[in-house]
Amino acid sequence: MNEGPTDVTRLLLDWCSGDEQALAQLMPLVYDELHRRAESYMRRERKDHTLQPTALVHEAFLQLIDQNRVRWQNRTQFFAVAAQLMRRIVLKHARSHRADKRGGKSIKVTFDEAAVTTEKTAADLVALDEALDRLTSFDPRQGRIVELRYFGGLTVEEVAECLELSTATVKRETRIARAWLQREMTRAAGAPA
Amino acid sequence: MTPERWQRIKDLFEQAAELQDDERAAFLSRECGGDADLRVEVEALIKSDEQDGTLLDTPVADVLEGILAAEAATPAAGRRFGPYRVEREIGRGGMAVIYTAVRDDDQYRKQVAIKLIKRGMDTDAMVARFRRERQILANLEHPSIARLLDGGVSDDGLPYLVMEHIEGLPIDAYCDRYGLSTDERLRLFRTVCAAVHFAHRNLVVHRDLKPSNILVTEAGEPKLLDFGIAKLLTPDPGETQPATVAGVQPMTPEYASPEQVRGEPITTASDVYALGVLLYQLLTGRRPFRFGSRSPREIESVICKREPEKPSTVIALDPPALDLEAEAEPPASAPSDRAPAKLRRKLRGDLDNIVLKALKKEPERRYGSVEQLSEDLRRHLEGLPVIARADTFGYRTAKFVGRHAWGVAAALLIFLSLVAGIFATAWQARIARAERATSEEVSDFLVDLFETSRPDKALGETITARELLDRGAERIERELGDEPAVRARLMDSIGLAYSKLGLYDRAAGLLSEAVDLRRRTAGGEHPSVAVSMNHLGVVHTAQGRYPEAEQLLEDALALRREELGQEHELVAESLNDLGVLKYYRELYDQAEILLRQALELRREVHGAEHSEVAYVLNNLALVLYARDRYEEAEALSGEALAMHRKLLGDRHPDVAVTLNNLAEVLRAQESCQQAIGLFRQALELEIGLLGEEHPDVAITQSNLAGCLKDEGELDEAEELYRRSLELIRGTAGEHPQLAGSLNNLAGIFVARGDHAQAEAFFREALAVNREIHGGDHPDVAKNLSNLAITLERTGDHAAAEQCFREALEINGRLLGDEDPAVLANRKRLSEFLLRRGDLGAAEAEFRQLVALERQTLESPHRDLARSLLGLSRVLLAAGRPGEAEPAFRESLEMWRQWPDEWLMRAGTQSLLGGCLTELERYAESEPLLVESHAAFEEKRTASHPSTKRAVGRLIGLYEAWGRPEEAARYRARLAE
Repeated sequence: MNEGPTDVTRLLLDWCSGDEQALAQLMPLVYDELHRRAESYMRRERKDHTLQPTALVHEAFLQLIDQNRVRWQNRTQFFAVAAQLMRRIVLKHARSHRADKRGGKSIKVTFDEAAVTTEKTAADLVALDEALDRLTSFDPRQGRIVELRYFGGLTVEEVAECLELSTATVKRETRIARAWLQREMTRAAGAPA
Repeated sequence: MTPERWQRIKDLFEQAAELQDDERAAFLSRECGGDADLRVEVEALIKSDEQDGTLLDTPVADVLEGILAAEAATPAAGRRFGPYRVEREIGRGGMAVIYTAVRDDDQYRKQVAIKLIKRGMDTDAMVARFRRERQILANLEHPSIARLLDGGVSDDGLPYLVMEHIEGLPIDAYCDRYGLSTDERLRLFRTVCAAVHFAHRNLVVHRDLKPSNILVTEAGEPKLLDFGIAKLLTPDPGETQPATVAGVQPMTPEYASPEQVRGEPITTASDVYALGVLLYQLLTGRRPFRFGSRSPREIESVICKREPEKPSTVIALDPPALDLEAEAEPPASAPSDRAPAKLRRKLRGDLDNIVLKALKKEPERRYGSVEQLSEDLRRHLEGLPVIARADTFGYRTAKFVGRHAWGVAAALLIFLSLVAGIFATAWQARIARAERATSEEVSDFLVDLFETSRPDKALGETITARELLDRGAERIERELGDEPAVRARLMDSIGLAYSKLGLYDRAAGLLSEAVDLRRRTAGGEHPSVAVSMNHLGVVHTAQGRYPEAEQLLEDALALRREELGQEHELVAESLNDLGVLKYYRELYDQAEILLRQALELRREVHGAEHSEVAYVLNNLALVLYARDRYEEAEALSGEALAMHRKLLGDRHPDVAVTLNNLAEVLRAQESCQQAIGLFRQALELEIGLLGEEHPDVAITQSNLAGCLKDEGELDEAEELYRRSLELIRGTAGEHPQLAGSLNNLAGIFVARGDHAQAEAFFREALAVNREIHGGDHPDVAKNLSNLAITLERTGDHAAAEQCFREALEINGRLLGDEDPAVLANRKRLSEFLLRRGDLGAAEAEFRQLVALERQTLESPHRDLARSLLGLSRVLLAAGRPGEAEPAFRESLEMWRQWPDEWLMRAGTQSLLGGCLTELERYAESEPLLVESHAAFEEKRTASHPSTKRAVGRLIGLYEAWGRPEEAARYRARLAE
């Protein structure tokens, strides 16, 4: 199958004009591209760079989409998809990392501070993800803001543009969403497991 | 949290965050008033807001780095999935990657295929689909279906399936390679049909039948692969997809049916269509359609609008190489043993008709099942006439249904659980009357049918009726192809008649066809469309297909309001039927609102005294009865009864139904003697009016028996149950009521403590329910629960567990995990596991139960309190008192709020006390144990087991605490 820029652009346009099936086809393509780019960051040619999801998303967009054919609205839709995918990528890892620690035989290891930190982060991410789902259930807009900001790595201005909100609103909503999520995560950590 | 409350919290947070600590406290006490929770919430948010350096402040990139490093280092070959080691990748589709693999510990090194879901496709919906596929396939054992061997989740969290690895050729390539003749192709195709039909009987639709999914082995045996997108026939209301991927349905355009490309519900008829495409291809070497481009619009337009050419006519179009579009398609297969002219002759007529019938645009005009398609091919092969033929005869009108309204009207729509009595609704009676009205317009067709096929009088009337309906349905299909309006009306009537025999599947088939026909012929908005939609909704209600029923009834209501205005009897009818549906869904608040609206409307339309008013009163009574508001229910039932008597006289079947219901309400209020009197009256009336053999008689007998059973009159109850059972067996055959009766009879044996006998009847009931509903129906689940309880008592714990689980699984699939009935199923399973001491499994179930209840119930809630108690008991029994404590405490907090729950409160306190003793927090334990002991002593006797257990815990506490004198003091009490 030809998966060049035209295909992705067409799928994106189809999706934006209401064809939900196009999204199903679009997601794996975007994922592959994000993944490929991320890998190249990991290898030597980009050693000097810090990995930033936002850069990945922007570059993937430039690579995949025929810039002459899409409008800004399409672009923001693309970011929404990319942020969702980023969230999924991160969460999958967090889950499997956590699962590793739970299942299987217990092996005696020397204390490793880094490993403990990662494990805790993984657990926190899972708690964050669950809390974000709950938040989204009663405040979908805040849910999207957090997804775009945190997982998509978008700036306040970009989120504002994407969701057609003022930057003040985005800032305000981000602050309270952050506080609520933080509280939920603390609660999850303290609850009987 | 509701959005409104959240908005309020947000507002307060924003204002409070700007204030200094002392101002803030004053501000919050002013704003929150008595709402302590609100204040706590806002304060917690402010505290979180002030924290920094949290996860949310670190770039997610850090974690991502780790992931990518891990993922990049996993090449396919040698990768492991459980005990399987990947050899190589053999395929890659839109959603999954396929590998061959071997099992390391298998000495024969048998090859398997592993299907791994692709990253990016692993949405929750997709993962759910994978799980389901695994479940379905595990149960789908057929020589022509590739076996599922195993499944699981990979190290990086992607679900995978391990399947039998099939070596073979795609069916089209196979036919070509071996030069199969047309008849040989048909026989091979029929083997495929048998496998698909088998899957359909197990409620699995393949959805993606195409040559590459049908491999033929060296031995010439076809094997169906890739039930990857198979989905249970019944929709899964619990499945929520992210909004962005809603409506996505995987498919292959060449084999996709019109309903599939439109994203409409997919049924077995969609597989019939795909098989039609396959047959077309095997016979002609071409597919019925080609697409100019692959755009969704083009594909949809071709599939939904263009009529396929007859197979016999496309043979002439050879050679395909000249066709410019042909390049886009792989070369398809044609029978190689015949010249085009000969092949054309072979296909013309029967085979043309058969293929085109399978390829009809409208699902209901295709073959009713794959078996029918296969059967028609068999007839063709044997030179018999086939069904797929368009011949039209005349038709004449009949008053058949009208004349037989009561004979046919088994009025048996309510299934009975072990404990509940039969509560006949006036709803069926209303259907019967609507039916009579309709029948006056029904055509000669039915009279003709009735007169010409009147069987020997020795046959029971109901059986006759059913036979007639079958013939009628078949003839509508055959004879009225070009008379859509008449067809629709007859289908509607016959559909209703079927529903009264309890043949809901047939009823639903005809009624949905009537809906579609009327939509097409009368226009989507015509009131007649709403009539059929409403009927279909009622039938779906009886089938337990609640989500579909709800949709139809709501649509019918909306359409009627639109077309007929707010004040119309038919609007009231829809309100009433929707209310009854909500009753069945146990959404009693909504049911009550709808029925009250219907009542008000009917009073406006018909005046205060009218039969329609009486019916809705009756239904409303039913809802109130279910809510345990017996006095109100009794008043309404009484009003309905008085109204019926006034309008219809004392001796009328509707009077008997209402008497029956009133008696049921009295029974619920434990006025058993009074209830028995009324039941006997109703019974006498029914026998007099309808004869001893009428199904209504069976209902009342059964209810009377239930009442007698409560009174301990087990012998008379058994006798009545048996008579009612016999009657139902004789008249209705396999009917929900038969299952209900068997259940009731089983209940007698439960009451006698004869669990072996009870088990036998429960099993028979289950077999009947399965026969009627297939595997998936709330009645089947209910039945399984009853059986499980009995099995537990007979000591067959393994079988009991299986039944509990199956009940949960069925209801979960039908109603979604959050449905009250499903929560109750999970509760039963969890508590069973706890009793059985399977602590690991019990913990898992209780945790899930608690999580679901937290989502769905308003806390505090008795069910949640109970589940928390269960969870904490499991943890305590597992020797984890530290984890048990918070759950005990949460549960106890809830029980404290309800004064009438003193027993649960004291019990929980006592258990928590024991838990704290184990944690060596004796000082905290003591007051709890003392208080609960006092409660038991006050309300129970000193020798009651609960009181003794409480004393036992006190002894345990003082012994552990090193206070032997007190322990001895309590021990002395125990000895008393």
